[in-house]
Amino acid sequence: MNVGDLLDARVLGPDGAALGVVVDVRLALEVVDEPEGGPGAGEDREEAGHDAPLSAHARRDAVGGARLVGLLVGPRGAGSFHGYERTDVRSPWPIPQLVRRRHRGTFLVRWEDVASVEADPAADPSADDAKPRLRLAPGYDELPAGLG
Amino acid sequence: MKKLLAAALGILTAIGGFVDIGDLVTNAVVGSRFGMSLAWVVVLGVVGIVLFASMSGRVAAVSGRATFEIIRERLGPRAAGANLLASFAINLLTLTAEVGGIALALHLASSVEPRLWIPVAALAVWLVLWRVKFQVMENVAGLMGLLLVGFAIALFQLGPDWGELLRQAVPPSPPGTEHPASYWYYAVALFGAAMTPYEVFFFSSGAVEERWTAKDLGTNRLNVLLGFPLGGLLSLAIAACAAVVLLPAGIEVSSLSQIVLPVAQAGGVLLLAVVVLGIVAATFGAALETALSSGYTLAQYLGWSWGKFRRPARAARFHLTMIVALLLAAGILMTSVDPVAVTEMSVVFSAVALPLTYVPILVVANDPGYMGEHVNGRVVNALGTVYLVIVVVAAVAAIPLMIATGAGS
Repeated sequence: MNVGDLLDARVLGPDGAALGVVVDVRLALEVVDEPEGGPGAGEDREEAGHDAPLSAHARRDAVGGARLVGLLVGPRGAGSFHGYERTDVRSPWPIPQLVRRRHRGTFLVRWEDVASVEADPAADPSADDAKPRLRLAPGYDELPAGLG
Repeated sequence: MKKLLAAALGILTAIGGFVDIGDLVTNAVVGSRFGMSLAWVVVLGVVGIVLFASMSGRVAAVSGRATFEIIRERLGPRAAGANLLASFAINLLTLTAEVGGIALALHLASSVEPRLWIPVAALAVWLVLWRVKFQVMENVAGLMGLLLVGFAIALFQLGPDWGELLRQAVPPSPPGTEHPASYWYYAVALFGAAMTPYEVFFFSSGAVEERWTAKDLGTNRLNVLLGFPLGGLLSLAIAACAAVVLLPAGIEVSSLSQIVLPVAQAGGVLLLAVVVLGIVAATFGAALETALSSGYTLAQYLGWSWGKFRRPARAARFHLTMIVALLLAAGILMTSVDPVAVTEMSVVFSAVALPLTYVPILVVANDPGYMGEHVNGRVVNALGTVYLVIVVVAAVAAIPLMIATGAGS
């Protein structure tokens, strides 16, 4: 399954009530300890770094594998957070205010709380991009969506 | 000298983006029809492009990310894809206009038919993209483009009534013979020409090509503060030349030879030769810039390896994109379409695409996770918000104005 299959899929509660759609997938990255300066430090890009991704040259933490934490469910399917879920930054006015307003009510459910992913009977089965339907397990938690 | 050469990226971006064929034409048309009454738009555009180019350069220096990578990341595949389609189409139109501009300028210099120059121009652009190092390219094209200062010299030699020019500019008083809708159509076109998105795509990617880091933020500032105002002054000089010579004579600009008419009248053959050389360099620089931008935007959207700092074999799809774009541009021109008309279209469509480019830059420049201590200050954010409003208004107004005025005619 690709992340793209889950995005925009409808999410139902244990009782079948519609809760919204999947707007994002939250992953946790394992942080790997690297020697001072990160991967490729001191390498000349012209010489050794030809095929290294550009991000390897930026000063950033090295990362290992990714683990699926859960899904972000938005009642109105409000698209990207534009990065504003990570911080409580309020500038430049009015963009974060508009983004957060659109995302009111968006919550995080743990991947363990997803009981089933099945074909959506409301979707046209002949369509190539038919989205599945997700049902949550009884007793699931609505966790806060923010990271900040 | 080394410090001045460090500003070459800004000067090439500004010369190529600001006094490219689009601005040459738009400024001369505006000068010949509205005098200096639209000078305020050039000033507005210069402040805007300085603001957003410096922001995109700062983001690129600190986070190592060029503008279209940020657009793709923050807007998601769909909205960024829409921006890519629009930006790529504008880029292609502009590249077409620039290659045509090189051919027209060479035609002025040689009186060999422009259509014969088109393949030569396209081939020369490709050779430079394929072989020449980024730094050499920007230094040569940027410094040669400075010859356009001939327009300013011509203006002084014409000995205009400065008071009259100033009266046209402040407060802006459009001539009574023109319809207000035409006036606003050209205001949007000039604004679009000044703030064309490919300038920030090129500038931010150039910052990555030149391996800027947070230590180079001073160079970034020097680049934008020197380059764009210089481009703006040259734009104003072109418009003023047209306002002094062409407006009273009732000549409406429809070809490149009319744009340089005031120069020939003021400075004779020698100054004309200097300015024509400057036009060749500026359009050539702009052709490089737009061809590179087509490669940068597509590669950054799709996650391909890109950049002139890699050998072509290591960034094959990036180079292939530029080759295809150049072939398309030359093909379009061979149908005898008028490059001047293509240009006028492309600057108006630029205005439509502005918000999708400038919003993500503003958002990321505020993200402490990317920028650390180099996030935007309050004043920059306040200006950014003001420009966001202007950009959205211009984007919404562009197409209706184009239809209402029959593209300004």
